[in-house]
Amino acid sequence: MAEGASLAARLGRAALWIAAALIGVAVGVGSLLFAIFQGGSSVENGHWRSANGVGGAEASAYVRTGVAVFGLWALPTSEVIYFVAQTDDEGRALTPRCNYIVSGGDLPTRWWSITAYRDFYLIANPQSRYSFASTTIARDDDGDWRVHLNAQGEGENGLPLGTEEGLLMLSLRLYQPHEGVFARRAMLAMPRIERQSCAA
Amino acid sequence: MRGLAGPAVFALLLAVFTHVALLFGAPFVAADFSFARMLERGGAVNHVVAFDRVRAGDENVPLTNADTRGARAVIDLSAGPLTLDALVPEGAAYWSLTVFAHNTDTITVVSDQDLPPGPVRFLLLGPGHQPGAAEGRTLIRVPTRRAYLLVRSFQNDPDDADEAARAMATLRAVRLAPATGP
Repeated sequence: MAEGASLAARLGRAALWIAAALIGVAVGVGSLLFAIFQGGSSVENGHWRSANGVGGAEASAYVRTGVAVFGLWALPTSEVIYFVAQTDDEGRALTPRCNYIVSGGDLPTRWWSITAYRDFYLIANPQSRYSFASTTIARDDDGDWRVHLNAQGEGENGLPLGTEEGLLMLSLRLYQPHEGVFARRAMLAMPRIERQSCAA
Repeated sequence: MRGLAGPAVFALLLAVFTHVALLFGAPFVAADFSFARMLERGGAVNHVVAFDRVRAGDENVPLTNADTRGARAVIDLSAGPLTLDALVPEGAAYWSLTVFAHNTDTITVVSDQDLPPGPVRFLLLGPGHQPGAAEGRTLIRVPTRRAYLLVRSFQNDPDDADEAARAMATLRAVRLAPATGP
């Protein structure tokens, strides 16, 4: 009886230390992810977000780690400005059950592209269409453009979202932005992301 | 409560250690995973591989740029400096050449806005390497033994066969080789 109680106590202590180890690792990982996503320096322009210091040696350790995990081999801001959006203009998460129009005009940069991702990877589709660029997008007579974002990629400049749920995001890349653009990222006229309709 | 103090302190210390270890180690680990994946798909260390636009499912890294035609190489400078030769194209929508350190920091990036069309020549120097006779090459000092080369190009009409062929020809001209001489 006494031996059984002693064994139970030892097992209980061992479980306590194992639990402490698991909690310690979880807190370590969780706090790092929190710091990357919440504490990493970035600029918001509407529902678009652009991180500071991407790719450069001057980047903070948190930006470097975040880029290494979610955007490996990104170029520095002197060469490219990256924006991402995960919601429409009303703050609702993008979903393949809805249709969107992403619209805008020319951007102050040499070349730009807009690309759709699910869970950080390209969205497979029969057309193998993943993006539109400044040199490939169909425009109105005044130079403005509209991308139709929906499950099948139907419509003018149609970009497929697929049918699977997941973390959907748009990435807007500005390659060789004009001088001063990086400093005024928060004030750029960004593309609008407007929800049109949704399946029941 | 006294019995919980030890595990609690242990949990806290482990949390701090995990946070710091991942913070500074993750870039190297991410780079190594990327290198391993690329080498699995063909090529060898210090060997440049030209690639066409990626398809969904074939990405090496998250948030891959779907418009990129490029050339890449996993670089190992442990055996000495390397020469890097490339060809700057004319009329591309965009072209750049980037060398990254092992921790993913950008060491250098040059583009077709910085350089005239035609051949460009570099000398990659790792830790402790001396330039020797640089032979008119631009020096790139890499602070880590391992590094990564990525040449990116975009076309005005990426679906145009002639434009794509010209771009791929330019990318296949990128070369790495051991530096010789004193």
